[in-house]
Amino acid sequence: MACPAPGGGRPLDRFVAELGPEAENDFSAVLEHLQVLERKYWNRPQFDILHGKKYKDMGEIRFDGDDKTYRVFGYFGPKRLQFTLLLGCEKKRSLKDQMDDSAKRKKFAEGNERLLYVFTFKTIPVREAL
Amino acid sequence: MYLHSKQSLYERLSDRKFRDAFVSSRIAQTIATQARVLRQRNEMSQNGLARALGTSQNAIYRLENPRYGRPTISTLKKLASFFDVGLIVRFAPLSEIVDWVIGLSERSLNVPDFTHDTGFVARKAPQSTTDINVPIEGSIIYQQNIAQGGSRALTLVHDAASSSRRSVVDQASGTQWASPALQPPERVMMAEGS
Repeated sequence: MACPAPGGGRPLDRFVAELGPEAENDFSAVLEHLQVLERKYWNRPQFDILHGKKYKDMGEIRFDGDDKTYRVFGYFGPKRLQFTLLLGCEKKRSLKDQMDDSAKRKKFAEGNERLLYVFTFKTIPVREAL
Repeated sequence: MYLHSKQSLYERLSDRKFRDAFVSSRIAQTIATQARVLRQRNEMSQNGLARALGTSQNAIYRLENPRYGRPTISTLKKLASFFDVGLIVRFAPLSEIVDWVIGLSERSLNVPDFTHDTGFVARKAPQSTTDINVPIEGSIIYQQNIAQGGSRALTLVHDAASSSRRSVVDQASGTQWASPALQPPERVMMAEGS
């Protein structure tokens, strides 16, 4: 699943559309694997749990490509066996702000479950079209 | 829930750079994930596996990290042998890789070892007619699970005219054989594979 921005739009789709081919494929391969693996196998280096009260049930998907490192934050829910993607960003020194934004977006997602959509690469516009 | 469709991937793969990245990322991520899952399933630490393979913990860390991993075929063969699984290293058409990606299942990554490989168990055909010990009409005497879901069953049918005459029916194709007593097991196996 993925969460739209509170003001509308699909920032995660836009984030993916702006990735280069290596990063997009790396992200795609990680998601393909996580999708079929039991949660006990959701581990580093492809995935890690976020620690802290504020980030309960949240985790980050890690991938690389085009000489950059990326993180996509999300949370386990709203339903069993679902993971909702909240926000994607390039990894720089500190990701505290992005983690906090993700936590806010998680709250929004929890109160607006009907707005969540199934994330798929099928509908991602190609970079040139942006 | 599918992340891709064959059509959408085909369109993206028309770009050469995307194609190269597609193949490269699937190799790196798949090897790394499979290696890690095999180790974790066997409740081994990176150190323990390193000792068993006669290598360093750092080498296992790198093997499980798609970012650093550049494993040699020799290392992968050692790992496959240690965990008693197979290893496929070969060139393939892009469409085959796309099919693999779209059909990915838990089993594709959490690879069963030889003793847990149901691919052999399910295909085991009756060895002789005495193995067929199901006298009730309509009983399934042999069932084969088919990849991509579903199953195929051979059903025992009694001939209405003679209680001693039986035949075997493949429900999927509707093919019917005479009494299994007249049917060598190999023939049944061949029919199954067809």
